Amino acid sequence: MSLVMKEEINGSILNVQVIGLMDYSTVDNFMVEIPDNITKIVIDFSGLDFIDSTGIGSILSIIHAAADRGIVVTFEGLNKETDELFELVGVYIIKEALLQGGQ
Amino acid sequence: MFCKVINHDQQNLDSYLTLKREIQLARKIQRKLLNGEKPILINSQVSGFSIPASMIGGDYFDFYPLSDGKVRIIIGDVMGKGIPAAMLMILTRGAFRSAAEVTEGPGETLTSMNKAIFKDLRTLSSFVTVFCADWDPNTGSLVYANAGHYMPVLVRGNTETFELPDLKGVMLGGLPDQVYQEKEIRLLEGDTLFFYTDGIVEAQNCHGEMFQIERLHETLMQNAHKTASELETIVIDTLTNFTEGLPQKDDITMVILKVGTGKDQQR
Repeated sequence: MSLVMKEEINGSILNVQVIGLMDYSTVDNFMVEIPDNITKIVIDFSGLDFIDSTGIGSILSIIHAAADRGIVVTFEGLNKETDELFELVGVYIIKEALLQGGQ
Repeated sequence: MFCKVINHDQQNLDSYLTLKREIQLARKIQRKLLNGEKPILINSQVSGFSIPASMIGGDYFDFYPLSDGKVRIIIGDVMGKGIPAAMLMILTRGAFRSAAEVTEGPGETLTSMNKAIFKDLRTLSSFVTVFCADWDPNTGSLVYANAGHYMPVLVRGNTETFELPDLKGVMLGGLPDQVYQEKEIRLLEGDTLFFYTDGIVEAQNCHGEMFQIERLHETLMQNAHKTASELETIVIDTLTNFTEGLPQKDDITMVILKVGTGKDQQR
């Protein structure tokens, strides 16, 4: 199983679609360059089959990189398992904290 | 020209053998650190075991005896696999040992660990999930704190399994200046507490099926009467049967705390 990434820019919004397996063996294919003038990044997980800690690490890197530039990151299409995993490890708390610029 | 080719091949072979030797040494060091001295406990047993997915792994568990007869238990999972994860596992172990010595409880330990390693983990775009608990065999009290890790499974008698009351906390390396909260639960005679990393529930067979938490609960419940080390072996055997020996992608680690053996135990 592999990882496919699709990127699309609509105005100032960067849409990133994640399809397949996002783990240690595939995560090197997950590289997001954030162009200038982007104000929001939407990551669509509806095509995601599985994510492990390495995959979560890549998502956190985007969140941190976006926060450094004042860019909002939102998630779409999360299934129950991934939602629970993000909740468990604290991805949502980190996202909110960085969005508020408090950390 | 021919000599040059031979020399080049020989150099590659030498480099390969050196690397292999160094990885084996690193594996030995990690196994020794992980399988160190188990604490002597009154009326309870504690045991831990870890199987790396590759030569060395990023999972971690440890026991730190406290001066008042309690023991501080930690289990953790470093992001990633293999050598990079193993290096961060050693960093985590150092932070735990230093923090355990000078902190009052598991919450303060996690707060201190995050303070110590946050910058390094952020620089490396990595993180560690850990669950930490203080077990007091004299009173049956278990005080715990959590940094993004799975809650342990409690087996009560032979009929009931449930996760410890939920306690959320951000992974180590997630945010600076995090303060980790604590919860307390009273364990009873005959209780078994099973701490684990995701490699257990995500172990896969050749059909791509995962072991899942339900099979873990079932295995624990059916074997709740066993000793901690027997239960450890049973879980590993059950996983091996399920996966049919298929090499796994993730490290597999467990810690078992068994309450009420009727006598002092040492492992």
